[in-house]
Amino acid sequence: MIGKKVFLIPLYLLLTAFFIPQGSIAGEYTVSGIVTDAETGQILAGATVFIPEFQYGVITDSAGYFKLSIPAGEYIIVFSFLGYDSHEKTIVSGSDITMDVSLTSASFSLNEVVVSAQAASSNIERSGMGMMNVSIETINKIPSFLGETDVLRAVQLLPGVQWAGDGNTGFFVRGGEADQNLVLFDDAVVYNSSHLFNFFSVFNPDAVEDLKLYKGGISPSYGGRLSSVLDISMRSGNMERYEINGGIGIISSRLSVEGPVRKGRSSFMLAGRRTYADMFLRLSPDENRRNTRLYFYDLNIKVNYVLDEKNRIFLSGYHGRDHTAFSEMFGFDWGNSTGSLRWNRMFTSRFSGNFSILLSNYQFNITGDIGPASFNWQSFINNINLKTDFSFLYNDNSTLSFGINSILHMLDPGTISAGIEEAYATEKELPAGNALEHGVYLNNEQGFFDNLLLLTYGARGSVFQVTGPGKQFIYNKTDPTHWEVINSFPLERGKIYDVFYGFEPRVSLRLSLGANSSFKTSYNRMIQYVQQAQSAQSVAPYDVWYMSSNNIPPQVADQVAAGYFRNFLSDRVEASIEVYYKDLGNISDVIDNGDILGNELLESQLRIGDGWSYGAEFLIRKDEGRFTGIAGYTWTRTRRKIDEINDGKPYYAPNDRKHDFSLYGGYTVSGALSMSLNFIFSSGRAVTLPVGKLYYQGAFAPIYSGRNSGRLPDYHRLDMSFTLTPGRGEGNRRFTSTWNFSLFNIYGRINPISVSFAESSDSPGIPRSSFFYIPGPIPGITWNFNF
Amino acid sequence: MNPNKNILPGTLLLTALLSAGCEKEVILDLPDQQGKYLVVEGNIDDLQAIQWIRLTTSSSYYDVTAGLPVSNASVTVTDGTVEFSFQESLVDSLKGYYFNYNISSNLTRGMYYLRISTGDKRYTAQSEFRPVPRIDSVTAALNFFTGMGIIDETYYDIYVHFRDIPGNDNHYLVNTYINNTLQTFRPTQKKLIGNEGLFDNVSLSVSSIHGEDIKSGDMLTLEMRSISREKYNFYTDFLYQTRMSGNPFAGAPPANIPTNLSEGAMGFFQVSAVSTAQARFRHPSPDRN
Repeated sequence: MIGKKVFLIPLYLLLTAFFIPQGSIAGEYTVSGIVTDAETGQILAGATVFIPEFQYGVITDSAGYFKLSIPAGEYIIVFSFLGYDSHEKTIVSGSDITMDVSLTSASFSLNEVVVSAQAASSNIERSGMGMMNVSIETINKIPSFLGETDVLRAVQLLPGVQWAGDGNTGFFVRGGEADQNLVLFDDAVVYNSSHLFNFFSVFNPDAVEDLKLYKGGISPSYGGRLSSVLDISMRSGNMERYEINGGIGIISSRLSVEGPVRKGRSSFMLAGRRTYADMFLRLSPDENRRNTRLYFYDLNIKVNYVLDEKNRIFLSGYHGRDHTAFSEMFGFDWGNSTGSLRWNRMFTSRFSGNFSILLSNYQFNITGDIGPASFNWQSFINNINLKTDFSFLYNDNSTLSFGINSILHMLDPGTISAGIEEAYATEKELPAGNALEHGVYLNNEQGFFDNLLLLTYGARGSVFQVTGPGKQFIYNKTDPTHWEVINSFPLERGKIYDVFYGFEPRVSLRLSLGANSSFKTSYNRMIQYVQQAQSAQSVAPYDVWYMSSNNIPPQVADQVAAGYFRNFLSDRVEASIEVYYKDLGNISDVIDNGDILGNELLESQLRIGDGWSYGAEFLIRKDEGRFTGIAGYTWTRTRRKIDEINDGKPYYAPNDRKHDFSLYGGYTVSGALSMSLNFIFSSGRAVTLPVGKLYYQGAFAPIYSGRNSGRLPDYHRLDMSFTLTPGRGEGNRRFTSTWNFSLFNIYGRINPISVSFAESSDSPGIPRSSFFYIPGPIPGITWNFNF
Repeated sequence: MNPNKNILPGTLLLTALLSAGCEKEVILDLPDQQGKYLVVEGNIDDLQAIQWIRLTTSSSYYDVTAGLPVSNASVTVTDGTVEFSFQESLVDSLKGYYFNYNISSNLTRGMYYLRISTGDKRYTAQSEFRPVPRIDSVTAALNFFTGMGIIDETYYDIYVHFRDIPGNDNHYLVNTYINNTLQTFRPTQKKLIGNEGLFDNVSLSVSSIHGEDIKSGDMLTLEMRSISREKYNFYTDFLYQTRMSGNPFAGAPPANIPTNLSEGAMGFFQVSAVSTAQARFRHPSPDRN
């Protein structure tokens, strides 16, 4: 194997310098600026800036920055953002204009809690399809589990998104696996988005500014995952005044503080939360319960500094940990940490750039201090991402964006120390994996015929270089059921071994069919080099990640989608129908009786094949007024075909569910009282069920006929919540508080998380089957405050 | 080799999660393929004079009885030169059992082939007869959890001590007898020894006996059998599929337990060398041995 010197960083710097233009473009005039919250000064990423006359608009970037190119003349520009009042400005262009716009929170202006002000017709106008966002106001109103507001539960309501089941914040997008979602928190990857065995997500609602989910029409600026991008922005803090938010619930409490460091120039945000069931357990007279730990915490921090009108710096970080321990014998800790440092620079009114350093970490540690069966297992995955993005508005109809990034992946599956038996070796070191992943992209948005037709096209080029330290294995693959190791060799630090190249074209087209409707279509190719070995049913937080190698080729997905979008009632109600077909290449699955936990020969337990998914998604949503709601229905099928699994016949993916329906409705009864309902129905997911059993040496074992050929019962559930805001409408009070009462699974439906087939513990030898489920109804009470 | 599956973390996590969730016994409308599969239980060794192979059919999952016996089959085992015929018992309660009285004393190192004919179907399997090390000694010690007071009940751990045979693919199974009564009949009770990381001088706990089931003076017998890597995997997968079934922390999906039989038959055929050792049980001191 020929090694190569790593010369990435000089190349990176060279390309970055090359791409920075030094002057502005003459000709058309530009309007640019930053959209912020009128009350807090916080930037609003994802706000729509729209010129009705051209039927053309843009969305603010993660720094709240926008720019439009317009010819000379007088125009109305409409600024809008989910949960805020739209704002119109008339401009007369004859030169470049810089304008910062502040939007007023709808709930603030109306003096009542209303989820409103959906960006007027932005869903019709933008070229990208498959992009959805949910305001934090809506998220806060969705009935919650145990009173804990959860960002990811809101995502699971959207069509095309299926969730893994009760007690699980994992989600699957258009036939993809959970690890095929690129989950970003201020641009940094979050490897594991769950707390407490997937009951809660890692995103503290107090720290979240905005979330956008892309399930198709994904910009080439994103790469590294097959199915979707969930881009979550952290609140940057109030630039004008100090503010404290918090909440006390039945299982956790939250507190966040934000405010200006230097008024109008810089701000900070600090947020934290912690569950406290373990604190009550310490009061238990039972020693084992006193020694039980079961809690999580997370911390968010963000600092936002406006150097001048052309330069901004953001620094944000997340750190969360789950701790479980039982009777001082068994402990299990895991968590994520992320860090983001971003410099936003407006070189000219037409040209801007973002320069980022992003860090991500996920790790777990399992310890068992149980005598002869003692063990310890520590594992982590890290990445460091250097990223540069540029946006260039080169005429009134066209925006060119481009960028480059390089990621250093560092995977250490860990060392398992075990005292299982005195006769065995007591330590097993799992081979590390390191790789460099580089991406370069170019994307152009071009309007034609007065923006009647909007074409977005571009591509992403990616390179994945396997490097040391690490270890590679050569297998004899003659027997498809058992790959035998015939050789292995260490990978040296600094040398590059296997190299994979990827070309990922992305195209979106929007055809305007009038002011209220449009037709869109898109094609995406996505490539994933780092993936997770875990069955979809699993809720285990011990994620086993692995990388493309000489035995595992990169996964590839090609997706085509088309949709019709129409708004009603002056854009207050939006509706859409989207259909898609996704072809999946080089997907992997675990062989029968595969062993993926703590196995240094993990690759030998996987087999590679193809998959495909298709479906239709229907959405109606209303984000404005006393009554708001989201109704989504998805019809979909997802299959796989891997020669060595299921006798080479196609089989359903574990997350295949034919029907998926979700309905959320919120109603503001008065200024002080609002209520919401949430109903979910989905077909039972595919599982492997026995068709019989065999007896051998006095014990029985199930016999299965085909992988995932059976179904769990259909899933359905109704939730409800009431939000009471005492004193609402009584003047301009600084201190406000709300009481949220929720009831999860009102009619107590038994929705199995899993089904087990085992002999009865009471009567050995007697076969039985049982569901494991979260009982309902589950009440929740949370008191939230703000001042 | 297939490493031993790590089921301990998953089992403990499930226990933790069960404290938050509920389990409900249900009867599901499962596809019924009763009688579809032939199940072969064939464990031939060089210890006992009487050797048998049991043939049954698969049964419905919820059927509380074992599979029906398969009668009138032709069952032979051959090493390629000598063929040993197994004859079905004439006793009604032993229907489906096929016996042979001379194979045991004629086993030599090498490959053995099982052939079964039933109706118009033919099934085959093969197994290598490999040597087994001599057991040096048998000892007993108070169970760690009992000794530490973690569990209230008294258990004793039984230890085997032996020197392994040089080689890279040695796998063994150990059965425990008390006064000639097998204590580890079921597949999930048997002690499996894989060669990964195995030292030359081996001392291993092979079973835990409840204090009420053994008393001073009882005869402890350990029986160590050579098995193939595939048979080792058969037992570990048997354990995994029956203990981790439905465990939401399981990484791998449910699957059939592997077999070395052809044509879709289930079960396993194994030819083993056996070594045994005995010791009188004495209540051990708190320190092991």
